[in-house]
Amino acid sequence: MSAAKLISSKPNAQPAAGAGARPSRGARLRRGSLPVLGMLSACGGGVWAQGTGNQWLVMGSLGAAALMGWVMSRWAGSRSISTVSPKAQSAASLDLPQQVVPVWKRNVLAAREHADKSMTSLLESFANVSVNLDKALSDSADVGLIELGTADRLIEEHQPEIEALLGTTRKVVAMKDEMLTAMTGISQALAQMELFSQQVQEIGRATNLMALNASVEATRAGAAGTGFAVVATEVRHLASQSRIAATQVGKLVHGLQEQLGALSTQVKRCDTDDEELVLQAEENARAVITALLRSLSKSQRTSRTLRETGRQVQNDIERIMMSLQSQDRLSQMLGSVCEDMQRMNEWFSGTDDPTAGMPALWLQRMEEQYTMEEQRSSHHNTVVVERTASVEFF
Amino acid sequence: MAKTIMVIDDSGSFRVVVKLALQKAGYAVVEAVDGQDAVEKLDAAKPHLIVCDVNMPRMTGLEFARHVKASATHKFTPMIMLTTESQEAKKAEGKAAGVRAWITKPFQPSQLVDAVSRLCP
Repeated sequence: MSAAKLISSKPNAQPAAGAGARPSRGARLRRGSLPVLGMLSACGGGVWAQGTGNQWLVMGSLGAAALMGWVMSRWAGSRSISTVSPKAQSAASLDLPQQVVPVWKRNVLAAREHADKSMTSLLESFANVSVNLDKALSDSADVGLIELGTADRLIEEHQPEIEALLGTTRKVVAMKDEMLTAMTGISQALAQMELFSQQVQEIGRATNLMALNASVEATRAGAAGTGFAVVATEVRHLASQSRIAATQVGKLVHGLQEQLGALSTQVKRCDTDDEELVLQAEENARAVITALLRSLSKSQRTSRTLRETGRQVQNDIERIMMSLQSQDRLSQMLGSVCEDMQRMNEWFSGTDDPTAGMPALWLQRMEEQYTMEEQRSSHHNTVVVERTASVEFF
Repeated sequence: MAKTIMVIDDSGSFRVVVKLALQKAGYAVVEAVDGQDAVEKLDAAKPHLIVCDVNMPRMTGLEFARHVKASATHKFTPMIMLTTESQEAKKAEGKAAGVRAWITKPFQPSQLVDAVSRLCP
């Protein structure tokens, strides 16, 4: 049960406003301050009970306020039925509230300051994470998606580079072509040589036949043809040698032609025309690019997953930061409680306060200081109506 | 070049939240801890718009609004009050002081950014 309810259930405890001379401090404590202090404390407890999100941050200070409410209610209750114990009388005479309330106030202020500092630091960290995440997401968003036909488009775009790669191959092919032409020329020359060799062999045969005829004629001429017969024999001998040499040359030339023919066949087997070479190069380039794109696509999928996760984290951070706005509201509520504690303490210290003897006026003044609906609802112990944030333009 | 928004609030945590929302939307932010601090920084900051709390020590948001409207240099600078205060009387006071929009805390960043971009296109 709250202190306010305890007090209101005992009407005898309410002071008679403005009645007679200024009461003594002890009487004021009995008749005025205790109910007000109890209400103030109950209000603090109410703030704690209806706070949103950050109760743990101010639990210490508001717990102190709730405890204050409980102590005051017990004190006020005991006073109202005029069973003041000697111990309580002693406490009142020692100006217990005057000494204790400032300590409560300092504790609440310290808790408020600590919570505010911690929350600011926390929010700054979240803000840094959010900004860095934004930057990372912005950088990764520059990587475009790989579309169908990208390989063909890249080959077309990079045709000059592919042509440059073909340059060396083209040079080799040109050298090979030149070599084939030279080999064809050599082959034709060898064919000519073989023909000449055959002609030399034929000439040798004819010469041999002529020398044989000359020998026959020299024999028929008798002694006069002896010298001529020797010459004819030598001519036959030479003709035979030249025929043998021509035959050997013919054989060698034939062998060379066969070897050259085999070589030409081998070279021609590797023959590739320019168009086929370009097609092969493009095919190879496409294979390389496709493999690269496949790897890139995989890393893109990973990057996309990271980006989506990053956005989720970003949204979560923003939601957390927005929910931490309640720190400001809690700070204002605690500030309001502290201000009232200050007023109470000043009154305890002897400062005149016309509302001190009239709880209704004290409470009215408290309400006038409120800035939030939550405070008013808490003050009246009514349900807080959830408002949707809105912008009002003037 | 980014437009400059002056954010005035005695709550450090709240300034962090507002600053982040505005910076993400591409605005440059100058902070002040209360009305008096804002008065001292106003000429140097030359803000395109002011986002201000109401209840602050030394000089309240409404006092600051009146100061701005009385200033020959800054009287046309649009001002948005961003506050826990929701009483109609306070809003009327703000309107009379030349405030252009009133946002009650807690706010949604998108609402603040929309209001800022509307008043400071």
